[in-house]
Amino acid sequence: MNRVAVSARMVAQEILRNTTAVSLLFLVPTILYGLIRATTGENLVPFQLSADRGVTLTGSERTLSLLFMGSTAMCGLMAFLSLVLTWRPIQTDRRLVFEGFPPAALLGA
Amino acid sequence: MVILEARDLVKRFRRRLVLNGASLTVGAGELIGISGGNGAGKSTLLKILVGLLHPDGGHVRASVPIGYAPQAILLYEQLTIEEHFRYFAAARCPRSGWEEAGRELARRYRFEPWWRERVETLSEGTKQKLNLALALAMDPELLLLDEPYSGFDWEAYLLFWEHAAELKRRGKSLLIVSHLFYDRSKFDRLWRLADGRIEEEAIA
Repeated sequence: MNRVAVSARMVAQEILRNTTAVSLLFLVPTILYGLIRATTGENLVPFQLSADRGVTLTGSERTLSLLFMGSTAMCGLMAFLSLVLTWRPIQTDRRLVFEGFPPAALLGA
Repeated sequence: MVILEARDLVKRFRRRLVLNGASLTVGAGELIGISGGNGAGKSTLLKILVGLLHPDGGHVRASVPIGYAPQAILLYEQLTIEEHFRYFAAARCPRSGWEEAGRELARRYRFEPWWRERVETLSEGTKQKLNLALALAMDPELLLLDEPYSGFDWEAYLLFWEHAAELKRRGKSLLIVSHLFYDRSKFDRLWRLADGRIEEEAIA
């Protein structure tokens, strides 16, 4: 029995059964996408990369916003998932470790 | 044969001295009860015996695998009963047999109908039974049980004592902590924890 696999499966089950977490995982990107669609157009925006200041590039306002907000949303959701995982019952984890479950396998999952 | 020995245990929480030189020995096949008032340090003593707390003084030596059922119900609310047995079985890595052992305990304590139900949907009594069953599942040589039947109904209470007697007949040792014992004749030895020390009490 692979302990990391068992633990990963249990953690995944816990997250998937947390309806608030799952709803927010879908809701947050949808709201961000909707806001960007509603507030941006297809106007071309010139910009320069800090690594290559000599060249001016252009991109559509909407595409650039989606790229920027997509990265921000990803970071936000990762932070949220981390928070959900820290809400796990730590005392129960400790009980599991007492029963012989390697802490590294639990953390790895 | 002594399978658990604790000598001169001392534990302080800030200025409050909870254990003050508590010593005990548990032999193979013994059924021992520890009583004491609220805040006497019974749960602290058990946590030290299983290694969840470090004593400020003294030492503990165990020569057999220990099963521990804490007083607080420590379960994963989002997982089912079946998943709990699988998870806890993985702790000791048995390749097979965890499901039969779990189902046998679930039948014995009458919670098998909820085998695939999530813990969050179970009654407090059923959670208490699962809390106990997880300690019993790996069939350890020594069981340390902290208020194991506090949320049980009368039927479950009787089932527990029937099971305890059966385990004792099979040579297992049980150390049961409770603030009161209704039937003292069930025990081989009874101790009382008072003023941080353990005193032997008469069984009759």
